[in-house]
Amino acid sequence: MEREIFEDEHRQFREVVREFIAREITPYHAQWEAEGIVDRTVFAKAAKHGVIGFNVAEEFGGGGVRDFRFNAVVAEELAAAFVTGPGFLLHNDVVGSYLSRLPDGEQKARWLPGFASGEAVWAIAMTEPGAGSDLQGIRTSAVRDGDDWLVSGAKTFITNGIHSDYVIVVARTDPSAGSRGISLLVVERDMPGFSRGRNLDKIGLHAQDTAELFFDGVRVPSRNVLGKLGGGFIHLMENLPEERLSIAISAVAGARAVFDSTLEYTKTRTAFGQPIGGFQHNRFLLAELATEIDIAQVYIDRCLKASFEEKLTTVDASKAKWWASELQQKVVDRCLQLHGGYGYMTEYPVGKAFTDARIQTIYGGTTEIMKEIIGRSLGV
Amino acid sequence: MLLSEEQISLADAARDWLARRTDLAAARADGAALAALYSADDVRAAAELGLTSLLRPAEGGTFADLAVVVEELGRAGSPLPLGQAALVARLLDQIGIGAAVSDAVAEGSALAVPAAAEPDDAAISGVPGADGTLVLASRAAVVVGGLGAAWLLVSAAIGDDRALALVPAASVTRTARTTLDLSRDIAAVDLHGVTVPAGDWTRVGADVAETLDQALAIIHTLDAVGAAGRLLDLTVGYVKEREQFGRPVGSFQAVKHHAATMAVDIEASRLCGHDAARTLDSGDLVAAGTAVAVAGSVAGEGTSRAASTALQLHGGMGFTWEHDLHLFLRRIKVDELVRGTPRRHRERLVATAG
Ligand SMILES: Cc1cc2nc3c(=O)[nH]c(=O)nc-3n(C[C@H](O)[C@H](O)[C@H](O)COP(=O)(O)OP(=O)(O)OC[C@H]3O[C@@H](n4cnc5c(N)ncnc54)[C@H](O)[C@@H]3O)c2cc1C
Repeated sequence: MEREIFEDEHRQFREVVREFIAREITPYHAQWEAEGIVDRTVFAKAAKHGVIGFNVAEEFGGGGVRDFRFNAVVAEELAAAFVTGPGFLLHNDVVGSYLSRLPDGEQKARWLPGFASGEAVWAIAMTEPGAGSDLQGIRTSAVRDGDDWLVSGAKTFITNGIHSDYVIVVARTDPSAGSRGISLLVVERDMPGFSRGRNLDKIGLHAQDTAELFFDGVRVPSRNVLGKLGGGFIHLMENLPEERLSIAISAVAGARAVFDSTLEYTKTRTAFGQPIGGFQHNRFLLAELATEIDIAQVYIDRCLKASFEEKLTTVDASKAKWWASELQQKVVDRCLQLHGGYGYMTEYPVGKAFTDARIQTIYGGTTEIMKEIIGRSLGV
Repeated sequence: MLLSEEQISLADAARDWLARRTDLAAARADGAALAALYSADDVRAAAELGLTSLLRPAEGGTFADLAVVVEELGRAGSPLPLGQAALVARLLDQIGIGAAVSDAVAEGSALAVPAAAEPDDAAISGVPGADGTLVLASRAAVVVGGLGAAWLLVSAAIGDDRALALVPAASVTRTARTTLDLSRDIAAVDLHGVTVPAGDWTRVGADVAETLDQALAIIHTLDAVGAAGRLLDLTVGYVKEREQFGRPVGSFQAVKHHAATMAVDIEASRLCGHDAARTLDSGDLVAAGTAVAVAGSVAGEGTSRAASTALQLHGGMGFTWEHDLHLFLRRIKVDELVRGTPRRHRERLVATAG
């Protein structure tokens, strides 16, 4: 179905992104997967071509466009090319939304130029070994010491965890104030007491660095508090919709990419003298998947519109996130079957997608947590 | 009762032994799938337990017994293709070729596995040559256990006839396949131009070829059932311990229902799988064909669904390489799709019903 959401400028941008991926990412992706991490210069290269950093004001070296449709184009093109390595979405969509809303003037001048140029890679650290779905259960603490904060605790599963130069750390600044005692503090690479664990081995997304981070009395100056002191939880609530939308967009695009490659396979592979796509069972299955992907796309595009109009709600983003990521699992699963006995060969994109895509229903808030949020909004 | 007392003790013995023998860390190592992950000693020990001779007519073993053992192999995530080897030993005895190989398998000095075309592919063809030889063509795209085995029992078609041919594995080109599964070795076997000497092959009735196909499907069904059972245990254990929101996540109703659905899927799969094995024992290949197809479609999707839920309930932990979970998830996915996808099994059901 034709999409109504994009203008010419987005279509031109798509060409740029596609070309960038083909030239600067695809040729190196297998090598990055073997190494467990991307070459970090890809961030700066992407910024140079405007693939990331476009959402930062021009005075700080960005493109000056805050329009999530551009983010969507990047997410879609990465998915279409089966690129999972560079943590662009985390840096640009997720952290980008915090940095576009929260820094004060002095912080903007300090942080945005590096963020926009891709010289500085960013991460956000919410999850802890003991606190995943339950963010209010975090134990990382920040204790006042003069004008500074001393941050202690451990985070885990942090995307860009190895490459990041700046980490937005969710910490408890007032242990007695519950969810009002949580703040965001920006920890910098060289701050004493900040260390990283190993790059976690995962079952998919092999080129993406995911790490444990440790904070042992890290001295963080007050000027590195992002947003309101004690307002951390609210800031998370304000910014999680965009993170979830970003995952939903990549889920639908990922589903479509697997679908397209499978469709091609069913047209070329024959059994009993006819292409396997010609069997009615397969034709109906393909028809169903094509329908569901289109329907999901329309909903996602509607959320995208709400997003650039600053109207995207937590509930709508949660619906998008769980539905699209579950659809992606279904599409991958059915497409594995459509490859007959061969989809489980990892040389096929669908075989690889089986492990790469599996995390989508978990990170950014699990399907169960999305349903909790939606259910509660219904008053039940 | 699903299992007899003897079968329960067989399962217990196999489970204990496999738990001690199976090193899942090996499956996680780089390039694990590129070689067989077991030693000659493992094979000998398995044979001493009677696991490779189980199906020989002289031992009186049944497919129902084999099903019990295969379920335990899946539960352990074992790299040993013992179900396949036991099947080859039985067939060799039955068709009267390769007596020495059958004995070797039973004694554990070598392993043999079947090599057959995947159900959607054209059969491996054979042409009788001079001096009673058989010249093979085409390839077996997926031979589970094919890298570690010393012998392959090739299921071939000679025109409309069927034949089984015993081929030394070292005499053919075997290529390791990189599949999702990391816990077992899987090879593509090129049989082009392989000449099998007289005495090492024989024409067989369609019933023998059919038995081989059905038995292989049953092996993969029960392997997946065992692996999924292991995932259920891991998952129930995890959700009881993992706390969020001040309570075990297993106390949330949605999580309980997920676990219950896993249990139902696995139990249904198990029942169908064992039923298929028993029906194959009855010798009624038409009834067995139906039972195998039911098992393949129910268990293929049921165990895969259960595996996916297992990962979901482990949250981020389930995505980590160190955790055993993915080894079983991968294995189950391959079990679902080899030797007939669920769709293929449903087609067969339509054909047998029809
Ligand atoms: C590759 C990867 C990248 C990641 N990147 C980041 C990152 O950059 N920054 C970051 O902060 N985090 C990151 N995460 C962490 C991720 O967001 C968490 O894994 C996720 O939120 C789930 O938390 P958990 O793993 O602790 O699961 P748990 O919260 O322990 O959940 C376990 C299971 O219980 C269920 N459950 C929990 N509570 C309930 C409930 N109330 N009702 C019903 N079911 C429930 C869950 O749905 C799940 O199925 C990443 C994780 C991965 C694997």
